[in-house]
Amino acid sequence: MSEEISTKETEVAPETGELTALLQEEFPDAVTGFHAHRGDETVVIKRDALESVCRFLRDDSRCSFEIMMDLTAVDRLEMNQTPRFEMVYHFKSLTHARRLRIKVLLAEDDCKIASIHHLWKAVDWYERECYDMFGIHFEGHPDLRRILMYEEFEGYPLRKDYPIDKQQPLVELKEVEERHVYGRHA
Amino acid sequence: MDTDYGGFKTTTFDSVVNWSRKFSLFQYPFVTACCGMEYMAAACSHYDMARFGAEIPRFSPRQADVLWVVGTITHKMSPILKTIYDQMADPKWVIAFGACASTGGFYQNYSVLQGIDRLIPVDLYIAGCPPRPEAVLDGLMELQNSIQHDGPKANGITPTAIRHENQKVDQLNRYFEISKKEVFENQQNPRSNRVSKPGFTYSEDFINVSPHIGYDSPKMQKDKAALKEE
Repeated sequence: MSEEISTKETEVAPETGELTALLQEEFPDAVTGFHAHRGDETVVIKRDALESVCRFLRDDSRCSFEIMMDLTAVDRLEMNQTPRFEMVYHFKSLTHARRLRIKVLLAEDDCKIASIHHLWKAVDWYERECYDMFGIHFEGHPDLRRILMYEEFEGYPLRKDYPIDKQQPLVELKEVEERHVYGRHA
Repeated sequence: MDTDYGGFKTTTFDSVVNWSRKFSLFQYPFVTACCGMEYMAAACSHYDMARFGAEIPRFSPRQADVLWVVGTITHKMSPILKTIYDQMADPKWVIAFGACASTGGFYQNYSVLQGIDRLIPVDLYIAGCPPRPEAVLDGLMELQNSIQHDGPKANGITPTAIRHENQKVDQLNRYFEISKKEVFENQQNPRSNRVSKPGFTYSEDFINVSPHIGYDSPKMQKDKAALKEE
């Protein structure tokens, strides 16, 4: 019998990475979910464990993630998923040549998370950007203020419920006849 | 000797002063974004703005005549732009360079000022994203024209605009006229068998096609649909 060539991915057991196994071993109750694809691992952890997990990732010689690559947030309002915000941290290890993604889920009415600036100085401005754009408060951050928008700006523009083209001018603009409906799909 | 511009009298002295102003424009390039690359290209040796007299960029508003607003202006930047404009001494002109400075361009969002003419009076808009250096130079010449003739224009339309209109009409006529000779002798492609195709008719006249150019706005689409229903 000839083998059927199918374009769908053959059914294999879901990938689990070494880092996921390591984190599950060290922090059994912190890991709430994980997935991996072709060597890139993602681990979802609880908010309270963030600081200790990050410290472990940086200091332990089995992981040694020296570089904090990226910190961003996802607003899942339009995907109708709760909790609303999902923080995404990317780390890179030079000694082991590996990357890792850590995700933390935050509820809308309690969008506070520990700042990890004392572990990697680079997250300073990333956290300020997340605060500016999503309104997520980082506890312990030395200077949490807006970075891209100006201080007088009200609201958090990258949240899905902020109308994307609502402008808040700083100087008085000339009168222009405008019958514009703010928001997308207007 | 006076020149008469449809009721307005200007003197030779005025025209000499305007001539000297237009050929010695000191620019303040207020460059924020990608249009700056095209500004630099227009100012450098290949497309040379210096031959129009607009040679040196003065990075102080006190020393400049023309404020070139090049690139995207955000709301965060708008008080700064207003301050720079206010600091310039008369006579001063403003050029909105590129789509973002003219109308907000590509960006219609919470942070971009939708056109600097909401903030300061603009004398010239150069469209493009980014505009080619030739377009920049054309705009500069247009500005010089308006500086020279700072009274009312003849017929309400500038000579440059008339020239542009004529050029466009020429282009369209050239493109859509297929001369009889080419059609029947297949000069464009001697290997084509167009003559032998059925339904081919012999015609004495030029075949002139006037196309519908451009994009129908939603209002136009609705009107057309209404017309079709009738």
